[in-house]
Amino acid sequence: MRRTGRPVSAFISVALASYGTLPVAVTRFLIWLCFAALLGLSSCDSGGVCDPGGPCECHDGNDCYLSCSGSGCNESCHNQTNCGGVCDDHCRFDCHDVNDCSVSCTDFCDAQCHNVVACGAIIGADSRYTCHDASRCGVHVMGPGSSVRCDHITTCEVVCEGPCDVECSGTQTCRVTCGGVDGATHDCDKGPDCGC
Amino acid sequence: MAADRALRAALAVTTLGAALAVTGTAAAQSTIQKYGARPSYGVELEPHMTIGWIDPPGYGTGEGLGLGGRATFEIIGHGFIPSLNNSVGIGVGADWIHYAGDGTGPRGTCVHFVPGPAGVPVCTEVSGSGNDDTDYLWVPVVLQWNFWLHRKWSVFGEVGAAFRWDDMHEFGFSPLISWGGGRFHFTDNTTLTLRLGIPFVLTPYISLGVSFLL
Repeated sequence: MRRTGRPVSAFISVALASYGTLPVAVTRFLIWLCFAALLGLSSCDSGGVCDPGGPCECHDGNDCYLSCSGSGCNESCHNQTNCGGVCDDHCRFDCHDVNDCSVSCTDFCDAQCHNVVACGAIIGADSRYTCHDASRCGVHVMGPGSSVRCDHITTCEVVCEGPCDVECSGTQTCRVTCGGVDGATHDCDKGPDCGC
Repeated sequence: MAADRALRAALAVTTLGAALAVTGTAAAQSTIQKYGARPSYGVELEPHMTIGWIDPPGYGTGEGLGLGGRATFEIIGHGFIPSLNNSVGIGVGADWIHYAGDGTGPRGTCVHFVPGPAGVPVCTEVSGSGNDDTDYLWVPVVLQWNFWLHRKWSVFGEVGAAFRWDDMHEFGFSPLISWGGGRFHFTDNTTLTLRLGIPFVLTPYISLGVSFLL
């Protein structure tokens, strides 16, 4: 491999030394491009409005909790100390790289939580919840037809009010309680497929 | 949102105009290759206005406005590139930004947790509507690299870290922040100074102020 041997500082030096020698039209065109990029980048932000269908995000902070009303919200949390989302039906929620992360959603919810200390969720009917690479994962399923998957979790506990599917893999403890919090609890860490 | 777009457009147009003005006279009065052709100073004192033009890193929404200041001490008079008129300084500052919030409050604090399975609390209610205004205090410490392009113009890049006081009650730390900026020299030692956080997601505010090179 051939190397030019020119350090970055030399490149900067040449770039700045050419300042003033470029044709004015070329220089102005380059500046226009820079500012178009600047405006384009700044418009990527959601502006803080949390509408169904649009992005709603917390990142790189301490505690942050998201609330979104209506069908089809899209919430996400990452690189927070603690984070959580509250949303309605057909909600999508993604959370990673936080300490405690929770979501509360209604029916047809699609949520995942990974690379955290603890995942918690309350989900409705016909929903799907996945947690992986965490110490604890606790899910309360309020309606029928939902599925929960725990992968590489130290303790996974699921409470189902109605029929549900639970799949555990790489867990030390996987417990499923059927019929609500006062129902019968059985261990699911012996096999991948379980549920109520 | 309209105010937001207007602010961005005004800023871009102002800076663009300034940049275009540079190109017109640059060839004749460039000082970038003339070592020493710049103001002599030991410290740059810069009171400024701060503008948070994207959401703050934690609690709060919308755009913010505030005040702050920066003191930059020159530590290397002849900078890292021998063939160019450049210098290096260390800057410390304090920037307060108030975010009025947009009233929708998607980011807030949890006001109701319920205990969930595995002992994990689940938030079921978030504070929001009408109560999402907040204040932030940033204390940046940066290395500033200056390029003295022209008798009337200089630019700089800054990289460093910042302590934060989020919502004025939570301590935070940003391990990497960076700005790019420029100065228009009214006189040799008094400048209009604009500083843009780059990238915005790491350094979510800009500043516009007056520098005194003392």
